[in-house]
Amino acid sequence: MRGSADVVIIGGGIMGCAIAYFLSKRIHNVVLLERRGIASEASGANYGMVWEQTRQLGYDLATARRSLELYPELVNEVFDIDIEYEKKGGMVIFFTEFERKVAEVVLHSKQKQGIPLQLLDTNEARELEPALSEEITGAFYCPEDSQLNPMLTTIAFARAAQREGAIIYTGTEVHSIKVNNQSVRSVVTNRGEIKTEVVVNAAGSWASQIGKMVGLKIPIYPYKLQSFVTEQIPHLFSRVIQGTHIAKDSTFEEALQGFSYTRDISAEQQNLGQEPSQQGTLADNSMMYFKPTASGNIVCGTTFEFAGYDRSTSYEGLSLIAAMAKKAIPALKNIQVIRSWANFNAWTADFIPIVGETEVKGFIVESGHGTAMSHGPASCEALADFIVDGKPMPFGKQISIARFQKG
Amino acid sequence: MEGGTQLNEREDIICRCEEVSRRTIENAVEKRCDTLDSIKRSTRAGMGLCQGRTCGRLVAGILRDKKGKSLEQLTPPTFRPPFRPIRLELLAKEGSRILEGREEK
Repeated sequence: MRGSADVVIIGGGIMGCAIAYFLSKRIHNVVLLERRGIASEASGANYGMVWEQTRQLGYDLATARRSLELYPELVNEVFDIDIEYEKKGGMVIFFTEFERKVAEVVLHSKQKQGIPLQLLDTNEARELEPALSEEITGAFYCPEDSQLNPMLTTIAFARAAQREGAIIYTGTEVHSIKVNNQSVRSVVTNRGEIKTEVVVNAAGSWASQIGKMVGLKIPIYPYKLQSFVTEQIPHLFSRVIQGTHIAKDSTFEEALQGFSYTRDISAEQQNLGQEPSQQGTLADNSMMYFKPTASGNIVCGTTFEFAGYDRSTSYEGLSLIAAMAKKAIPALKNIQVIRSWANFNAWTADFIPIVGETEVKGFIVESGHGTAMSHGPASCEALADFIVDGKPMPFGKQISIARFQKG
Repeated sequence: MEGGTQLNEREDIICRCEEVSRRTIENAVEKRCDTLDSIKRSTRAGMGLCQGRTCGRLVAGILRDKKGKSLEQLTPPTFRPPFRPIRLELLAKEGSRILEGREEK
């Protein structure tokens, strides 16, 4: 194992592999450490959506847009494997008149943000995706939204980083980080110690555990998502299809928030950045996601739970997902379900990741992305510029860990 | 016709569900894969309808032979529910009842 590095990256998900690539293009001696294998956690279980329509104004939308520009370049010029990147457009389907009314208001605000969003009626939506239920009351459609294979994309970044000279150690666990005078000195692993002055914490849902090693509280928590996959079937639908997240008996205002995926959190809550607890039933915390894969399997999800690092799936959770699938795409009812799993999405109180420097010199965070495939390329491109040139990150204040700290 | 068909055991199908040959799995092991899980991720062997219940032992055998590991040294692949394929509509029964109950509120 190398004894020293200019930068040590912790985490072999999309963020770690993308930052390894963008850094290695500019500097030598970049090392990435991964406890399991590349794309073993969320980046292997992600729905692979690079979407504009569900992003919120600010860092989230700007970063997704830049990634939509970057992916075609990466596919054409950098990656040596096919990541199944396709601009097929993304769909969000509705089932009630209430949702459709809220959608009309959302449509105008999204269009004002420059998102080419369209509101389709039942027939228009079913023309695009004939497998959709007749019961839908309409759908959002954004032709710019794209999809990819998240596992292959992460591996493609890792391979590109290696070609640029990065060293990747899988099966390598970080035990501690040595800090002196509030500055990073070295990273201690199960395979040896690496001297470095810069660490990038790209551990995603485990970012808080890495933070503890330098005495830093990082308020990123694991959010458990259950999913299952069906057997391979002939073509049924083409696009990733998502439902809305509007709780029963929501007011119009609450529904608007649910639709635009923004969360209004009080300053008090932000300051605390405390561990979230589960609110409501599993049915209240479930949302439709259906993804047709290149191999012909259909991935169906999902339920959201705060359950620590418990990876178990439940009969209730899987049954709810099956019920949603049957409701949205009736032809799925006779298909066999072959495998289920739960993975962790990184969660923060305002759904915005934590990116950038911290009070420990040389300790940089790039974690907390709930939509990592949309953020990955653009966020890591900007972070590499920050690490190498000191160029400020766009929306630096919005994504800074300082927003969760008092004073 | 001279010689007839050349039978090559490297073309044997190991994973029948996903039609993955011995050659594909051996190549993966030679190049980069040293665990059952990484072979699955790289070749799709074991990702089909039977979820590796037929080919799992064969894949483990290839890994043992190529890497000189004993079967006990190999981390078993993760098995997850359902334990055999289940029709989606059957799985949906309880969930549909819960969702319909919410709509009636």
